[in-house]
Amino acid sequence: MPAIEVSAPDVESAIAQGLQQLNLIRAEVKIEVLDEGNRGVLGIGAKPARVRLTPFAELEMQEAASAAAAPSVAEASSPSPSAAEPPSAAPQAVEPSPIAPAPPEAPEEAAAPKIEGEELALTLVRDILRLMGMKRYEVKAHSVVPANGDEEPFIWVDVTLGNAHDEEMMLSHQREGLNALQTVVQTMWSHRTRSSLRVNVDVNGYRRRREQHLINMARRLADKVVAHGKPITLEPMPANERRIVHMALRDRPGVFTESFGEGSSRKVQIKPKR
Amino acid sequence: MKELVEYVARGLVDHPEQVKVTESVDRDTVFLELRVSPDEVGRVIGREGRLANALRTLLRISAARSRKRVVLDIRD
Repeated sequence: MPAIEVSAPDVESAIAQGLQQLNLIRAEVKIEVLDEGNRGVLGIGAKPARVRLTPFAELEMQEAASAAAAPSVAEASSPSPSAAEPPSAAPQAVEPSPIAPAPPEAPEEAAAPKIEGEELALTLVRDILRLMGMKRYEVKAHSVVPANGDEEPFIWVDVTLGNAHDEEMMLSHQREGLNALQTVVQTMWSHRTRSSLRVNVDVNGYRRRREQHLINMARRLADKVVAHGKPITLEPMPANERRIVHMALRDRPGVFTESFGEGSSRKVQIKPKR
Repeated sequence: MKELVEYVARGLVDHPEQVKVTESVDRDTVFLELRVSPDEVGRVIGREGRLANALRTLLRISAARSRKRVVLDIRD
């Protein structure tokens, strides 16, 4: 998803138009105002506003490309799924065949037989979205077995919401809606299956992009911590995101990570190892 | 609204037949009252109310479509 430039009578409507074109929300793009524009007086001297919107996923891909020249230990030992993909490139739902094809963009996730309960996860998410009155949506699920062996397999459920308002509702306010859906589905699924495995629910590729963003950020900040010898504290994050940061830096020499604070203000600190 | 609460609650308890939800509407507010078997109230509320809050969030999003407010009351 490349950067786009949009013109409109004023900055706000240019941003709104651009977000609609990209099918992203404000938190997912870098916004540059190229020209504030001028409404003019009675239409005389009016000049449209121009903005450039760059998806963060795109910025990270560029960073990753330039960082590739300088390989680091953290890079080599990362347990992360590969790229920040737009939702359209999300893995296909696993057909009811005994052996599932590996999602093409996640080479280190081994081809997995279905986790028992994959169908149940799919049904739960579909039913809840329907009962919530969502307009247009598509739900796919597949099982993932992390190749590094020390993580449990899990089920990944991809929701694609076709309605911008629905997407906004699910992803605004620090992903409150997505997290609520995740909590409800996980608890119902665990209760029914009596299994301790995780079910990850994603909406329009948000978690995928966010995970890549957090990993890149964690590595960048770890470099800084090592260079300056001073700890850096990240913004408050929910547990699943703190976990991504901890995992990304688990094998990174020179730093260690710790969480502190309570509830919704709990945050990760990256500290130099002495 | 009511169906969503019934669906989620029945999926969380061992006695789904004891799940009862009543709905009443006063102007812009939808009042939902959820009753479950007394020994299973904890299941639908969750640790530190996590589950009840998640369900309230889903209800709020669902109700925003029709510009309504939702109040969910959980009883045993």
